[in-house]
Amino acid sequence: MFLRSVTRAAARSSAVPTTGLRSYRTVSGPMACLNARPQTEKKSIAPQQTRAASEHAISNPTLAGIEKRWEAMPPQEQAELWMQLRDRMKVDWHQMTLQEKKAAYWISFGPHGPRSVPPKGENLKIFFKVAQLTLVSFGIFYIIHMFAKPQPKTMTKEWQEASNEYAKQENINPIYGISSVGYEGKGFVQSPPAEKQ
Amino acid sequence: MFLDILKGHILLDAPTPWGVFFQDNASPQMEGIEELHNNIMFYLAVILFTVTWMMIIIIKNFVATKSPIAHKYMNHGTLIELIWTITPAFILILIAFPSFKLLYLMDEVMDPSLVVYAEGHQWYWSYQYPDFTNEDDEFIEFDSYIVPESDLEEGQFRMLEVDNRVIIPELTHTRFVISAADVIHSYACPSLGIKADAYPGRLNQASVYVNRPGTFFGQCSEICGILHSSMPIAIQSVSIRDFLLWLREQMEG
Repeated sequence: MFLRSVTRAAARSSAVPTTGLRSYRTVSGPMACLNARPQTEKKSIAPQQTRAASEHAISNPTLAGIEKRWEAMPPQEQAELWMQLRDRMKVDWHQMTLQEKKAAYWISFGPHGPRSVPPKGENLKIFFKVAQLTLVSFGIFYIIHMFAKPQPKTMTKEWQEASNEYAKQENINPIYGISSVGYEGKGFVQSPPAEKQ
Repeated sequence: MFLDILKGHILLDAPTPWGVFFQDNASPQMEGIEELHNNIMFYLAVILFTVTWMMIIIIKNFVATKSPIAHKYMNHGTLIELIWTITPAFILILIAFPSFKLLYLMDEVMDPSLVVYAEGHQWYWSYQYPDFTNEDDEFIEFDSYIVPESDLEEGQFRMLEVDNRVIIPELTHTRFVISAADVIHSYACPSLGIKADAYPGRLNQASVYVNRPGTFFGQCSEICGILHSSMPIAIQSVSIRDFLLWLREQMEG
């Protein structure tokens, strides 16, 4: 047990983050590239920043009312708190306090960010806007349609009835269609009579 | 009611209002295509119902109220992955084999008794019957233009009628040799189950065996310019006797 604590403490001490946000850059400073030498000359150990499991519970006041405070917290604080909770989740979860469990669950799955509950009436607003735009598009279609050429002369009931006779004469559709035995469908008729147009 | 609509509008020979299915078949090729289509539709129905059932079950069971914790780290399962990889592969094999069989059967040109040469132009088809020549060594040759709307006789089909139809005998192996003079066209006739691209400088071929007399319409099926829609194809199949009479008329005429 003692040995485990020591190794964890060592790992922590070598990995104190410079900012609250997690960074996987090597520990060497930002100017390190200027002093860089080929790897063969110096066998330097470049430890990755890691965080070990934390056995210290996060204090209750830090987590109290997180649901109300979370959205207003600056991103850096959010990241800090979340990293702490993640470290806590690395230990046996039975050791976590109820407050920690609740906070970890809420931050992961709670109704905030993309999961936030939409404001009241938003769905209705979207529905009405979409309906309005659909009506406008129908209107535009109708206006364009007013300038269209008239339908061709074949689009009358009389012509299409003549088409039926013509098709029978030509033995068109003898299996299932107009020329078939016992056919009862409308054949090519689909338009109203000429005088009604 | 839906079945009535299907019965009334599908499986027709020339295009009909609101037609959604094949035109009546008039050749063994088209019969084969229809059969393959029906077989594939069977698999499609099985897949559709299975996937729909799975989706409904997922939507029903994995809602926030029933399953509040998202298992966002559970992303791998060897058995289920094997199942959903091997099953579609198996279905694809079941579809592929009859498909290839039909493809190669259709590709085969049976020892034809008659050759018709069809050439696509912007925007009409021209035809030659090189098997028959008259005393002056001329063979039958004609152009086939669309009949414009103003010249249609009552009852004729708009955008489908032509001034000179291709006449072929029924129950005769016929070879269509297809080419183009200017741009790429495509010679297609749904009832006969043919659709062959017509390339300038190349010859394509399609085998046709019409099993009943009738008139079959098709259209150019490769965008070939502004009047692409105005170069229809009308093929009329007649008895061998009538074909010979027509042939004599053409030779003498």
